[in-house]
Amino acid sequence: MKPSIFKNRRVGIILAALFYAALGFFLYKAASKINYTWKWDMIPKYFVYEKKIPLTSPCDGKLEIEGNKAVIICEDGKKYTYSLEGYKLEFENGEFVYEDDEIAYKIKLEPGPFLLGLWVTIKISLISMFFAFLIGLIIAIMRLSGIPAFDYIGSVYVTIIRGTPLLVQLFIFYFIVATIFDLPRFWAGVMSLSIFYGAYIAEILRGAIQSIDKGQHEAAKSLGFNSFQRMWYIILPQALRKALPALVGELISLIKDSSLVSIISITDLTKVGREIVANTFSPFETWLTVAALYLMLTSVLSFIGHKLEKRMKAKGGI
Amino acid sequence: MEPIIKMERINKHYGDFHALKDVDFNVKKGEVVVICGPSGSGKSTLIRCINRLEDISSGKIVIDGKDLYDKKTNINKLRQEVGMVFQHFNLFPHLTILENITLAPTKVKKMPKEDAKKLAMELLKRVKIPHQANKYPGELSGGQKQRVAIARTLAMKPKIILFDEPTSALDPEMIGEVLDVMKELARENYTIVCVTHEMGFAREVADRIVFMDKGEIVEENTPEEFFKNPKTDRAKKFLSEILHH
Repeated sequence: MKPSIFKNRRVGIILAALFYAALGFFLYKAASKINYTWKWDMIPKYFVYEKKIPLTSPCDGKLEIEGNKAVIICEDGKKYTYSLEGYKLEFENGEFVYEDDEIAYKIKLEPGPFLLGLWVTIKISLISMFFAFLIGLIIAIMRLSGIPAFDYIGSVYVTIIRGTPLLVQLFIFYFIVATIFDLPRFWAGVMSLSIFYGAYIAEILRGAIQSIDKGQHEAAKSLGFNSFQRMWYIILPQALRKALPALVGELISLIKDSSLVSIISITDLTKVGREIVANTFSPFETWLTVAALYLMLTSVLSFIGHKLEKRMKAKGGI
Repeated sequence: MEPIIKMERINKHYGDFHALKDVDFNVKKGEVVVICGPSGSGKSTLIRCINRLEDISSGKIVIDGKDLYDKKTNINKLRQEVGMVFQHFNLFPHLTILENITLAPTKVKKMPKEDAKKLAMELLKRVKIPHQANKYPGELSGGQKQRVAIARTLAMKPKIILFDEPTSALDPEMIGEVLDVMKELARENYTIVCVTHEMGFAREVADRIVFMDKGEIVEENTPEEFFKNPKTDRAKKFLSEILHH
């Protein structure tokens, strides 16, 4: 008997593609119904734009062109020389110029709001990932230390952080902590993301460390490793490998949740999106672009995670 | 001569279960002792108390002149002199065979990397698997893994080696290769305490057999005497069961 056509992978890919194409078409049609005018052409200039840099005359005087240089001889006899490298001249040799006249200009490509916002999002995410991991590791080890005080400190932290919304924590860090300690808003954002995700990462690492076979601890003990060495050389490397897929998942969530910091006026990708919408009245194109940029970031991370996992599988299979 | 392992009136409880009952156990330097007995008799517990993988409930343990429970005794230091080979090998799966062997000498004893590597290669030759040095434990057979585990223990140059049922998790055809390595060690200067059911091994290399049952040492004797005329009924019963299977 021939297997059903729906079990075929290639048919599956085609059907899925058709499904999403239909969905997209439907969305497009629905948008046309409300007379939405698509203006995709305005999006690129929010990525990079051409900035005009003028060269202006410092005084009233005469302009003389000498090869690649512009010399302005002012009426009071002072001489100013400018390089014309890369400039486009707007006056001719010997012409009279007034003060502040634009003698020449050049075009420079500048990163637009989307790129600047993307960079802020990347920066805040990377710094928060680092601290979240550090906090998670410390809390996980505290909870497994066998010292009740450390265990309780860790478990209260995890309970409070996991039991309250990130948005509320963000407000608390911004309006209370940052005010008291006079912190810039960027660091208030980093702190709340780090502390929030630190709690989740702590639980993942704790589970992974606990899942390592008792025999590994015993073998390490019997060889004379002290408790720090046991953790560092034997238990943690194995636990991290086990936790990797879950950790990557948390870091992806962190990137996405970093969009919340736009609420406290950090000019990240989401805030930039809001500003562009306010300027252009093109919310459809703007938000679809913002979404695509986030998807790009998270895809890069999950790709790296995949590669790491594969490499570890090749190395001994755990 | 003062025994290198001295255990006096050892008691061990797991909750309500009395695993070791007033056990006295001594081993002289260079002696090869095999501990046998039915499962649940406390033989593994006893051997695991020697390097403090298990804590005792009461009693006194002195290893090479150092009281295991003295506050001044550095347990990690002492464990360097007491190697242990486990039933389930417990190799470090994230490290290569070579790294498994060199990790403890380089990190615990601060031996230079090159020296540790040379030592590891010598030991791998000795346990007859020099060609697996760069593989991971997951790629080796059970018998090979156990031989690596023995090499890993030897790399710390211990005075005492504890074997905790080293062949129990192996397929029958791999038991021989591990026992061969153990026999060689037994003929050298190592003090060996081995929990095993391999009576052939015991007969061949043990200086003394200790028979345990229900948390007590029931009988101690040379292998010849123990196998020829076991004194207690419990030993007779155990021997008849184990030798007929």
